Amino acid sequence: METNKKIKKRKLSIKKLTIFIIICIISIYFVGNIFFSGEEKMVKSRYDKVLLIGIDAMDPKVTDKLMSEGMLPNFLKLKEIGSFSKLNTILPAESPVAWTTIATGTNPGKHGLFDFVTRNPEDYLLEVSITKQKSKYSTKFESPIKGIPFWRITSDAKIPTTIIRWPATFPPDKVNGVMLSGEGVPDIKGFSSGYYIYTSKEINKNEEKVIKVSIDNRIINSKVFGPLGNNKNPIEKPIQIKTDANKAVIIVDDKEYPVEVSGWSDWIKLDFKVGFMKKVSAITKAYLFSVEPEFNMYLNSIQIDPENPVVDFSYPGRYSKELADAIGLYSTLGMPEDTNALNENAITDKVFLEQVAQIEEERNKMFWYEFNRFDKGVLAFVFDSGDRLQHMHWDEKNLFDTKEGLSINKEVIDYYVKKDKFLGEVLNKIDNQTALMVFSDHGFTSFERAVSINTWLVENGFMILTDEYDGNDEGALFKFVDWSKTKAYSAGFAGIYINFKGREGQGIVEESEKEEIVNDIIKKLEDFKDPKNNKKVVTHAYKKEEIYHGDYVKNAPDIVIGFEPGYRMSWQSAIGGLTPEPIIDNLKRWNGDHIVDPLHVPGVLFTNFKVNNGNPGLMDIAPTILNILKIDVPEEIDGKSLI
Amino acid sequence: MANITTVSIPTPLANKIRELCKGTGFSSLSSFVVYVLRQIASEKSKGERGFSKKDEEMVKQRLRSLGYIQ
Repeated sequence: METNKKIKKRKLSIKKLTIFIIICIISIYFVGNIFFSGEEKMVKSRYDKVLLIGIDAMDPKVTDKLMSEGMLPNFLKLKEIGSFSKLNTILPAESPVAWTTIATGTNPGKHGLFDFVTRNPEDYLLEVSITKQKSKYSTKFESPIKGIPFWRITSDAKIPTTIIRWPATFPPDKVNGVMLSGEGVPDIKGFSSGYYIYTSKEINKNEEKVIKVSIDNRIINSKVFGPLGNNKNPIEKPIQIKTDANKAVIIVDDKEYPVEVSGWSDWIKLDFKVGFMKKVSAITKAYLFSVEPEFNMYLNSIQIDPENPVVDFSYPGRYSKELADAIGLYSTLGMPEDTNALNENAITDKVFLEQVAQIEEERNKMFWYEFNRFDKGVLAFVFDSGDRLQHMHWDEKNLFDTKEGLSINKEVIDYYVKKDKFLGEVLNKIDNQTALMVFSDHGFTSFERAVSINTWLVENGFMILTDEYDGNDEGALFKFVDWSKTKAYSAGFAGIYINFKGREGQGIVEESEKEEIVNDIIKKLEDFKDPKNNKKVVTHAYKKEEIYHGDYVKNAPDIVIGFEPGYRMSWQSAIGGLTPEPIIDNLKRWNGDHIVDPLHVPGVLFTNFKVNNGNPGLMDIAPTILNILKIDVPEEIDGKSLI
Repeated sequence: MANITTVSIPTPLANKIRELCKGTGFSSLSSFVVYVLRQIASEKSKGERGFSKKDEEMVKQRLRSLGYIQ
């Protein structure tokens, strides 16, 4: 009996001890979590790599629709693992502004990039902001970003940092790793694009882009155009084309590049002599439409040779060659998808789509080259062909006349599906130490009516023209503006500037009248109705001080316009020109756009971790990256970490 | 003959340039250096002139080469 009692007592003690130990373990677990304050620290301790995949212009409406139809299983999977939401974009919703806002985590008032097109207040001269020359005549370039992008902060913290094709990064930044510049890298002439058509048919006028050739004994002797010489004319180089019934051979510097009808050549290498013992290397590709009865060939932009770049578009400079050695020659131009050639009917849809597919293939190779050696730090990669594709294949016609809304073109569906497949491969390959964010800078909408704000300013008496204007010339660069009587002018895709005394070269508006003029313009813009359908044209027009803050607000347009969906600034007005009416139909192939009020075109954000905010914005990405990598978020960052 | 002055350049650089000049038609190191400097000086003076029609056309072309503008 005694023994039984002892055994029972011991059993009880063991039971008590076990319960005590379990209570202790549970307590330690909970206390630990209280000490480490939940989600944020748990996420912090889990990841040592941040993978950022940018998909320019990925639209939440399209994404939602295709996800609900089961066409994007991997995006759906990512949503279920972590999160999916719209990503609020910025004003104006343009790639360079938006990507720089993401990179710096600040509003444009702090990073200084406000539009694709900027103006010099002294002489009203316009320039492309993302390919910024150091001075008017310089062949050297400077970064358009004045803020501090996250890659500079991670690099300073000695964290391995790889940034590939992030827009508005030309010239490249020095990072603790490698950088390949994206949107903004010029062609060999310093332009954003520039194709050529070689044709044997008669041409009406001497167009710079169209080169008349004649076939003599099956041989064409012609030329290609390289960098600009001292006289601002391109330096020429002879080429010979040997033709056959359904193929041709392009001969440059004794090298032969065969091309078949309805096919592409390989990359063609071109060396231009530009002076004593100096040459500039370039690359291009040809597409042969036909040899007989007419010879027709397209040559895409003459681009910087990555193996021997005339100007560095990678950091370190040798990286562009390293990449070419690893994956072969590749498009180096910022925006190589030739939307201009398609817009001007110089190429067909088929050729454009093949070109986009080739570019995507190059980008995929670049991605996997970097991904396969990514073992620590940040890898950021931006795919941007989808933006150009949607500009040319958006299908939201009759937005005003019917309620049909969005139907998605096959070409656009194919692009999203390909990106989903790519994401599937990424999800299969990433380890559980990798925080993944997939996001876009803005969404998309239709572009049906082109608005010339300069013409509207004339109609409303804010801009006065000289007597030389006869109403027929589309003008550009404010050719017909009488600055001595003009109160406001528009430049770029969303901006209006006051012709302010002391700031503008020929400014007339005094400080005391500025506010009243700004208010007057804003009121009239918000009342502006399209005469065709009596619809509102502008969702809202903003004073710069309302939407931006920071050291560079002074460089921003005084008023920034947020257009209604369907409306966009006309290209004539964007470069200081006029149209006969303030609003004209957009009859171009370029039928989709995103430079409207940011309310209408948010981007997307997918993460493989839970986020603390259901309504994130572009500025929240950079502090999230820094937080995950255990780096203090600088005070000047406007966004908030999502973990 | 124009007045001349003397400038100093490091000897290794001078030797390197002499090598480069061989067979190019430059009779001496000086004639090569003068040629190069004249080119730089003429580039610089071009940068100081006004804004010509040609420059204006270049700016327009540069702007229009951005896909968004056509």
